[in-house]
Amino acid sequence: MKCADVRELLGNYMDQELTETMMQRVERHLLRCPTCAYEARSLEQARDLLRHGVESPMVSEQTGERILHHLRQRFPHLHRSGSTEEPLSLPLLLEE
Amino acid sequence: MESGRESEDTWLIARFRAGDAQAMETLFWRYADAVLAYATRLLGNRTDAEEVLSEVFLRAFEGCMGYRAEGTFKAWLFRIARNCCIDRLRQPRLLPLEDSGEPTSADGTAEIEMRVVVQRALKRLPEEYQTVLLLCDVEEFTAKEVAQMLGRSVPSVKGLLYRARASLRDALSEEWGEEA
Repeated sequence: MKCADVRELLGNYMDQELTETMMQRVERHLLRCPTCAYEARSLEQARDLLRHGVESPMVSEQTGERILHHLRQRFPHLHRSGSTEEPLSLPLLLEE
Repeated sequence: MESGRESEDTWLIARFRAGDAQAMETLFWRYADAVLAYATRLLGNRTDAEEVLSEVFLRAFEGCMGYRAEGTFKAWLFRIARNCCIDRLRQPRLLPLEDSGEPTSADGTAEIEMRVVVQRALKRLPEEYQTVLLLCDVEEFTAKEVAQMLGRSVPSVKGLLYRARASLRDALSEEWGEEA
C-alpha cells in the first residue's frame, strides 16, 4: 500500500470505518512509514484536543425558565397534562 | 430503525402537537445544554449563544407541526442551530462580547488555558470546517447525518472532515507556538 492510498483512507481509519483487513493494512503501513504515522497521530491528537478542549457550558435554570416562559407565550394553546411539579413520564420504549 | 431516545423524541413531538406543554419542556431540557454548547463554540461567546438558543427552540417548535422524521430530531435541531448561528455571525457587531462566566463543566487553570487555545484555533478555521468538526468530532453525529444537515453527499462530508482536521492540527500547532 502506497502513502497516497493510506492518506485517502486515514479519515475512515481514524473513525474505524474500514474493514478489519483494511484496518490491518493501514496499520502495517503506519508501522513502516514515519511520515504517514505522524500524519495519523497528529490528526488524532487534534481531534482529541478538540473533544476535550471545547467549552461545555450548561443552561442555567434561570435562563432555561426564561426561554420556556417565552415559548409558552408563543404557544398559548399548550396545556399541562398533570401536576406542574411532576416531570413528564415517558412511555416505556425498548432499545432495538 | 429508531433508537429508544429517538422514539421518545417522536412521542414527545406528537404530545407537543397535541398541545402538551410538558412535552415541549422535556424536549427543551433534553437538548438545551447540547445546543448551547454548539452555539457557544460556533459563535465564540455565551451571550450570543443564549440568544440563539431561544431562537433555535422557537423555530424548532414552530416547525414541529411540519416536521417529518427524516433523520433524527436532534440532527434537525442542530441544523436549525447552525442556520441561526450563521445568521447571527452575519449581523454587524459594535462591541466584542466577553464570556458571561456562568458555570461550565470544567474550571481548572490548565483546562481553561487549553480551552482558550482550542477555541482560538477553531475560530481561525473557515465556518464549514468548524461546523463539520463540531458536528462529527464533538457531537459525534455520523457522516450520513451531517451530510443530511449540510445538504452534501457522505463522501463530500468525509473529505471536508479530513481537511478540517488537518487545518485544526495546523492551527493548534501555531497557537501552541504562540503560547510558548
